[in-house]
Amino acid sequence: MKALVFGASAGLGRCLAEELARRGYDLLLIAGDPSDLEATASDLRLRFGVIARTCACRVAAAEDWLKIVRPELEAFGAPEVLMFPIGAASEDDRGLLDLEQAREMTEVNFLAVVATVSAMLPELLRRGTGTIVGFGSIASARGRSRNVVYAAAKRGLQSFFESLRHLTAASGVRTQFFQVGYLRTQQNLGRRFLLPAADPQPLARDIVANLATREGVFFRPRYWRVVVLVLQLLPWFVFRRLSF
Amino acid sequence: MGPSTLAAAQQEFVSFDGGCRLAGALARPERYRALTSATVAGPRISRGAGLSYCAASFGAGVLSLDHRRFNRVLEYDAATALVTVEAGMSLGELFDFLAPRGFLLRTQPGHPSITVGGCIAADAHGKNQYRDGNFSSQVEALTLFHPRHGTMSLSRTANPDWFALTCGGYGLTGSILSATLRLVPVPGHSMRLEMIPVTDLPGLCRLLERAATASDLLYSWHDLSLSAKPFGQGVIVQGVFIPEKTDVDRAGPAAQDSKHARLRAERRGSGYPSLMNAATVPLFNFLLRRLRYARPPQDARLDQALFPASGMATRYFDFFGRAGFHEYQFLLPMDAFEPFSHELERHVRRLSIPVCLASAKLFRGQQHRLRFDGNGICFAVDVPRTAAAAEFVEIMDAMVIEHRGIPNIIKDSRLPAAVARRAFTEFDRFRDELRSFDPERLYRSELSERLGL
Repeated sequence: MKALVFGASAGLGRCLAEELARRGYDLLLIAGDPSDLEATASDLRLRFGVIARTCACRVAAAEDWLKIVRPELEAFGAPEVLMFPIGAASEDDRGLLDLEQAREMTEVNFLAVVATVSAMLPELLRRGTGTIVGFGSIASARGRSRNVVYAAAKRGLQSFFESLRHLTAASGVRTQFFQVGYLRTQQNLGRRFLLPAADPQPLARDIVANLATREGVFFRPRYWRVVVLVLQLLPWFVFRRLSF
Repeated sequence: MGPSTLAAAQQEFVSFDGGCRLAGALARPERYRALTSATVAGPRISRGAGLSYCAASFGAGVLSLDHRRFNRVLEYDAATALVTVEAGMSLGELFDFLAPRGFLLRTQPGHPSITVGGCIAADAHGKNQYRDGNFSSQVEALTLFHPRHGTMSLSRTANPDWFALTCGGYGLTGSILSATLRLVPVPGHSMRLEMIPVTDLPGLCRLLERAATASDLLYSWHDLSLSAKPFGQGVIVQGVFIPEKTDVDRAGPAAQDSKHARLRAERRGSGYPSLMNAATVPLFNFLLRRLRYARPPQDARLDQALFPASGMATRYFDFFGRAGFHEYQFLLPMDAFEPFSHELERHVRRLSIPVCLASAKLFRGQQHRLRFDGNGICFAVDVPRTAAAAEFVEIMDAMVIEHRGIPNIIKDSRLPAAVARRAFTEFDRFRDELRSFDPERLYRSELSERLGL
């Protein structure tokens, strides 16, 4: 069994890579920093005896990162599992990003997943098996004055996964899309949230344990489904007064 | 992908003994570039499990860098019996990796959450220091980051002075990124523990010496309750690995997810009043003797033998409540122990100090810089943190100096600089070397400031 994990050197991506390795998956790990990536790969090879290949590349609009990733994918062979726990948000994303910044934000949060899935999909469909796992954000539940482009990109990704599900419905390829709430990661340390942040480790365990059984859209932690529903149902005259 | 800035949270840090509470900042980097980032400004200190009895991993105005996500195995070679791990790996995690492969660390302290980096920084000791030495004796090499020097490789041959300064350097030379450790084959599937009665403290040294070379684990427990007759009676716990399989499991996971294994200084005893006082301690010691130490030889699982301070045993520390406790651990020359023990009894009786735990180990080695090492007997007493206890530990300071001993710096959150200066003959050498290595003193902690390092 083979799996590809984007953003595998830290946060949820690293936890997912570890859970997959624990279950015996050979891995292709992709992330921006070679030293973090190599440390994670060494650890997984030594602890779980799996093959862990690495591909260090920075997903950025200005760089032809797919050129770096594509030969690695070919060398690794078509994986059964593709995971994209990647994304980047910015405090400056309040409707005033210039084209370059907006392009960057879209590349990381949307186009990187689209491009990689598109590269792998023909092989997955030919084999008629595989699971593609995308990660959205509760920030995209409803457009607001913060995370403007980020939320748009994540909503675009959700739509892409919806289409992907429809596209693969007749095949054995499965799609899963996780709407993830606040996570207890390095970037979020010290930030105050309306609801508690989740630990990425148990989340990764849950996702990997149910790879073969689920399809569709999921909220983690689960109570976010209710929160998102309430947010979406709020009448505009109420929502416009909210600041969060 | 993702920002490289290092987010930090303001929080209250607490030394494990409850004696030092300080507000500070905590960052939890996950990437090397965040840990070694130039965006980190001002004083900082590395932090592992945060279980030091003193404030070694935090300080006022200091950014604590939590290393626990740097817990990966980087290299492992069974042929050379070497493993290289990141410094944030806990002893339990390392045990879980090594034991199924037939290896162990020769020296390790008794709680599985403590990190490899913390053990190096404190130069911790293990179950039989007399035979096995301190933790740093099994460290072959390490990588250290300091903004002034960059990432350095240190060993006994590469930058040997900085290597020596970092082992037992209380984290003040920089952030230990990784360490290469020498391993020993697992000597047995379980450990047989025998209790050897000790009638009084003065006779202890002789009994420990007799058992030292033939033991894989060796420590003593004593009842220093005022009602105990004679004062200091107890047992020597002697453990020997059993090569053949017994009816106990070979090894359970030591990293343990259970809440009991997740000791946290900030949570220890929170919400409890102290249950340890003059009325309860004799009962506590009586029960401990009957239930734990007055038993026939017994076999313990490998993980249980190596990490006795885990699981329910960690509840012991909660009994001291939020106020906490003093653990006074010191190392005395052998010939000084008998007169010291008489004085100890006198002061315990005079101040009516409820001693909850008293334990001894035999030590052998060379004392350098501020390391807790040398020849003699290591003795530790735990007392609840009260006004009388504060007077008691000050008396202990004077007694230890008078009897040519050294206190264990990492076990005491209040140890005054004057006591450390008098007890450690190489105090000035350590401070001078540290200042030569890091003139701006970028790595600081409450410990370093209190001791004037």
